[in-house]
Amino acid sequence: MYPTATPRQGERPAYRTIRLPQDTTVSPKRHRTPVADVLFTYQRSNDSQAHGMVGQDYLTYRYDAQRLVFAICDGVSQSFMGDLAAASLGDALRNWLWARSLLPFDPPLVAHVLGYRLQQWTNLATSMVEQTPIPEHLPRMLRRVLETKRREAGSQTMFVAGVVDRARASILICWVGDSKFQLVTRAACLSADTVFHTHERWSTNRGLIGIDLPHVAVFPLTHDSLLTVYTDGIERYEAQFQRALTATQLADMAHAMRDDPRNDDIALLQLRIPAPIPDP
Amino acid sequence: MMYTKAATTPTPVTVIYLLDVSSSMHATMPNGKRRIDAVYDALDGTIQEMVSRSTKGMHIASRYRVAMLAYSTRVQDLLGGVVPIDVLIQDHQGLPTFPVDGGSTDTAAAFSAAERILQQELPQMGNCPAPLVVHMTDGMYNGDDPTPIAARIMQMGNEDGKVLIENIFISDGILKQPVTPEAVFQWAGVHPNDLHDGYAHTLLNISSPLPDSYATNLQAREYSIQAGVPMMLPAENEALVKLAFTMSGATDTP
Repeated sequence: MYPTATPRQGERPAYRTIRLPQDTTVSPKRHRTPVADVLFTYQRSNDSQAHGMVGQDYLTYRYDAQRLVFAICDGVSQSFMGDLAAASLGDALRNWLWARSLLPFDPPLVAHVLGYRLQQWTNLATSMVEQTPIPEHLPRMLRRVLETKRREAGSQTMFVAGVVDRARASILICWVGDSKFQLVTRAACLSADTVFHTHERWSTNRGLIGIDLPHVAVFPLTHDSLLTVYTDGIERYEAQFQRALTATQLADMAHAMRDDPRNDDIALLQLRIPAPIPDP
Repeated sequence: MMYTKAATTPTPVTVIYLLDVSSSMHATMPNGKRRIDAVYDALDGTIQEMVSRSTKGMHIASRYRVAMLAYSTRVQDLLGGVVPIDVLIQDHQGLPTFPVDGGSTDTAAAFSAAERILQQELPQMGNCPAPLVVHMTDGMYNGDDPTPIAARIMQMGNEDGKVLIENIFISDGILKQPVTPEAVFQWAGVHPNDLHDGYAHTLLNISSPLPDSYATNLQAREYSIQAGVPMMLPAENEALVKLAFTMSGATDTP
């Protein structure tokens, strides 16, 4: 059913991981998990599809009976192969958030610990970027441009990643850049005061750019909630993300974006999260 | 709002360069570099920047279309028409050599050639960013006055706005108060009162006001040039030449 899933071998899987491939358009799909009803899509831009290129967004999530961890990344096209940073950081964030199940949901603490990790991850990512070949057959000036991007900018991405934790009745979200999220309940938009900045990003060469530490926020999960996480390729419709979308509505939005000259890759994840049943 | 459309593959921006290649372009700038070499390097840097802003992964999107007309006594089309940026770097392997020669400076003929290109191309540019004509010269024209032709060009346009004209005047003593290379990033742009009398005022009168979107993109590159100043660059040194050509690639992109 899903493009990539990695249950554990040999025994009942303790968790399940979903990774959407960057080389394929994934029509809007629903997926019921123990933590949330999930709606997701991945759409490559017209340019990417026309030239058989991978998209530069990335979407992944992992869940078990109590938690759902997600990451959406938007690779920066002006950097060197933004898809590389998006996929590698998306996987790293998902794994890190999953493994830190005992980490207190304390925003300043999480920001500091994650900020340190984001700097550490540049080591591995830099060698991956350096080993990416630039084909000899490309025009000389393009090779020169790519070499300059690799040397000066590295591969760059923005991200939104988080944990929905039913046991803690909380949602923790970390972000850098202008990939966005909206969290609403029947009573209020909990993310109304959240800010997103285009100049912030993570670079495989330099770590965080435009900000010292990632933004971190924690929200209570005391009511039925709707969390939508998305890249800027579909932000034109963000006013409609305060209600649960159908797959058809999301498909119509994605289709309409294809007529926009500025159309970009799209990654969107919407979670309908029931409030946890309180302990007696 | 004008000049707000972004250069994309389905809606590329067209930039027409008119390059004075008369023999005086062999003269040197204050740093000892020949004017023609400073122009070549700056334009090469601008084409690279266009490629960089068009590159996604290892593919170049055709966000820019470029024409290059070199002129002295006659006008030479260096690229054989208006060429998409990806074709420019694939088929032409980048910037062609400039044919510097003797002869006069027939600026009117160059603007006439640009006008003909625009007459052909504008009907297909409805949803594109307004095109830009970039005129680089180092001296007064010979022959016909180019200003009536430039004025006609400035009345042409599309949904995004009138055709923009930028003039790059490479000479000495244009400004009453020179802008040093070190001060270029703090420079707000030219004002008529800044200029000595002479040809600079003629060029100023056929220069478009800098659109907000261009100013924003230049400020993102740490320049301080302000929206609304004339797109006339008194290029007394190589740093100003570089700013001038950077301006020519400052159309907004996604």
